[in-house]
Amino acid sequence: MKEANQGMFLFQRRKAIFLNRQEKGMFIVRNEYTRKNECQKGDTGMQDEFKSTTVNQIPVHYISTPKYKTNFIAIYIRQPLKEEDHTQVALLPYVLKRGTAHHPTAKSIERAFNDLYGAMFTVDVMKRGEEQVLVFRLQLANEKFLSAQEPLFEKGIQLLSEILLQPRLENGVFLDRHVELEKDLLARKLSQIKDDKIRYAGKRCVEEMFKEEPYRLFAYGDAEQLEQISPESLYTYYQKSLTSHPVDVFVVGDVPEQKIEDIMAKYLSWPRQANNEPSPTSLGRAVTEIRQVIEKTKISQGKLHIGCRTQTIYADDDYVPLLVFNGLFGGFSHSKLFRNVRERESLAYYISSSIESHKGFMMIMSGIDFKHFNKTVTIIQDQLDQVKKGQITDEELNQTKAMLINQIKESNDQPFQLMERMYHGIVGGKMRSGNQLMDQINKVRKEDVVKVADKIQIDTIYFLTSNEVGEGDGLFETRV
Amino acid sequence: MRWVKVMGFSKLEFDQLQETLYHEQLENGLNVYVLPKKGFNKTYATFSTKYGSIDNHFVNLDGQTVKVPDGIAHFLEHKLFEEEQGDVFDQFSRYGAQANAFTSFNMTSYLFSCTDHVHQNLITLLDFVQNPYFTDQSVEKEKGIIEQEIRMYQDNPDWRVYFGLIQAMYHRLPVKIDIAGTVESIYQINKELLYTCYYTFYHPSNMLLFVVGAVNPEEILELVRENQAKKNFPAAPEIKRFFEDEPPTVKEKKYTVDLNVDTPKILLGYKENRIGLQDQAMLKQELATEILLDMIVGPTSDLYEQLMEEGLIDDSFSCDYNVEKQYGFSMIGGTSKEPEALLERIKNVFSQASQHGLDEEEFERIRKQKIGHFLKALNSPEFIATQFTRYKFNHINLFDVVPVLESIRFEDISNRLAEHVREDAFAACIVH
Repeated sequence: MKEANQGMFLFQRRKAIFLNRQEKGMFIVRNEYTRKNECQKGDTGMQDEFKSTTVNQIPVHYISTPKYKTNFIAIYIRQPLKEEDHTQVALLPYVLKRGTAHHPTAKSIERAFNDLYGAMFTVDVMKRGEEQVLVFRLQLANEKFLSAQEPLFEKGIQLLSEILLQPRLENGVFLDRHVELEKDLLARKLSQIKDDKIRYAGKRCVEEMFKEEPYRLFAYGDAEQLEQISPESLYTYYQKSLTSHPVDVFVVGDVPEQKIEDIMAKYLSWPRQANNEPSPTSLGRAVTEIRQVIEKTKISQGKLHIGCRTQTIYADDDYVPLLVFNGLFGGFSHSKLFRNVRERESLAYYISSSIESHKGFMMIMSGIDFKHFNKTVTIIQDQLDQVKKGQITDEELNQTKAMLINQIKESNDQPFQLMERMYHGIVGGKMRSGNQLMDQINKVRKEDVVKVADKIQIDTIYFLTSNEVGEGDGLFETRV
Repeated sequence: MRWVKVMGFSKLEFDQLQETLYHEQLENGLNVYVLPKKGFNKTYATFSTKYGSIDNHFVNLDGQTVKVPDGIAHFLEHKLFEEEQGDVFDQFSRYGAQANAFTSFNMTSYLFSCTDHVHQNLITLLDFVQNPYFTDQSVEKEKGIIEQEIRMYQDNPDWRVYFGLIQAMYHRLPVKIDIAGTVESIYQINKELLYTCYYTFYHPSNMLLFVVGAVNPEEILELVRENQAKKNFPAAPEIKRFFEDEPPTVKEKKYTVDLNVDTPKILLGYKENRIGLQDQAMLKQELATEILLDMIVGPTSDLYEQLMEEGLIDDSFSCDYNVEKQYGFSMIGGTSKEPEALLERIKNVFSQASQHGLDEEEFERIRKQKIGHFLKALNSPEFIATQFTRYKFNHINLFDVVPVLESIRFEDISNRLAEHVREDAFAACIVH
């Protein structure tokens, strides 16, 4: 089941409660810390390191390995995050999936992928700082495990190339019907966000906190802008993006290096002009006053989201201490937030913090009883203050380092995660190999954590509560 | 596939998949499986008991028949993490392991993943699950946490529509009970009840340990042997579970939930009538029914394309089939602004298929797709361990999936259509 995610808060929870075809049936997990966390992001380990080459001016990063039963391909295209463009960027990959010159409908594309032993093709739009990134991912069975031998890798790339380079056109632009269908689907997707209360609260917190900055924009666009999008405007934008925005191609699998280069040259070459790098993300303002936003709806549990400014981004030297800070503050089940809010006070089932790497943003989130708003916020603030005062035990520090290092090593087994990690380095303008990252984590001292914690300020406290809670009940007095 | 018998344990080799599975049943009855994965950094281990939310009526070790409060299997799963010396998570964190657990209708699993200190973490896993420690105070404290967990699910329309459909289908079978119980039922749980459930269902002979990843299988088997030999488990009587008779018809044709959502959610499906299967027969039924559903309403079906064109569905639309020994059901649906119209269209397409038959070409295409998806899933240690265990509890071997898929014939799908798709087995749930 496809998930429209806001990028940084990918929870296993969603996987657990949806009907999942891989893990049959329904189950509920004990805690939510098995999520894909931003703080995993780094580069690759030694055994699983990408090599890079350039084919027709496009960087191709690849690992040739017999480790997996499938081959993995991804194409990333960077876009500046802009009010006037972000909705059409969000729409684009879905229109491309609608039809090609040879496969005129979504159904015929699906069938073509199925014929390649259930090749899995997905598209995604995500936010990386103040950039919006289009991602096309393809996973193909390795033919050596099949009774019937077919050149699946080549056929898969050929189909991917068709989707990107030979979309179905009418009068030289996208098919009107396809654009209309996808506009309608996107409009529905956007209006349904309020049905997933945790996600809605997260989105609202970001909108409030970054009111004055492009980071407020949602990766999936804005329903009000859909009307202005036409097949012409969308196609023009796509052509510009394809020829002049930065593109990166990743391949991981049991394919010899030469074959990767040959197939890329054969199927994924198109005329490129400039390589317009988006302008760097602004770090944003210092906090002068904590903003508090209370919203009401029909709900049985309050959703608390606290947005903080870390003033630390991927390229900074203290990015690594920030990873350690997040781990011991709210990133794991031995963290201060989990131990105090959940285990000691029984206030919540989920409570966590996670960091975003390019904007200097940290989100704390929890689901609590409406009446425990004040109490929970106070505990969270106290725990943050404790770290700032250096109240960190050696045990906490060592556990966090062990957990972070484990995450880096584990993700070396997951090609799409490896690609994500390297891409953080590309967007963040600083490459850190997995080994460097692990080395730096090991060297983080308590003082480094305190120093990075000291820069962190709570910016916005957002609470989605029940409309049955009366005015003034337990509203929080902000303190700066 | 071939079996090789080596000292005490056996090796099962799957040539085409290039996997070797090691297995040993220990003296205390515990089944241990190890699947080494070359080139992987990560090791993933699950320690599971064949005990889930539906096992709420059984004979305890004193020979008395007991009925326990809803949600207790899940509550027990939470509480096992607490030891006299403190929380087990601390021990796992020290050795860089991510630990977790989950409870389903039929099983409870405790698990960790790590890249270093595998032996140490495995010992922690075995020891904490086999050392229950409950106090009145800690049981009380957990109630607040689980209450918040239940409320989180109550706010989730996908969860509500899923359970709503099961509740529409089932009259009496405890599959209709929410896995976590209710805010009321969990307050009836106490430490004595937890011990009763624990000692009934956590005997090693009712459990399975699966280790997959960067391991030496013989070392792992030796470690587990040694660890288990140090512990005493009195011989366990055979577990007796009771389930009330469930009529083949559904309880309610249509069940609605009012959650004030922006766009309604709908799930509908057929309650399985052919139950009680185990072994390859169950696997074949599961795979054949999945193929059937994909052929009729899956993303490459004509109906899917039409519904998409008409705006009746979006990409949340999906279908699935669940079968266990006591129950089974198909589930089709997603988000739709016109759930009633969608319901009629889906019912129609099934009756059309029943009258006019199915497309053999599409059958071949879907079968291929399923083989490819299975290979993809074998990259995932989580999938292998969880799915292997679930299948084994039903006497199925996970690595039989490809041969069984290859053995399924077009007639099998037509037979499934006739058996599974019956008017009196149809139910729907709509969340408004």
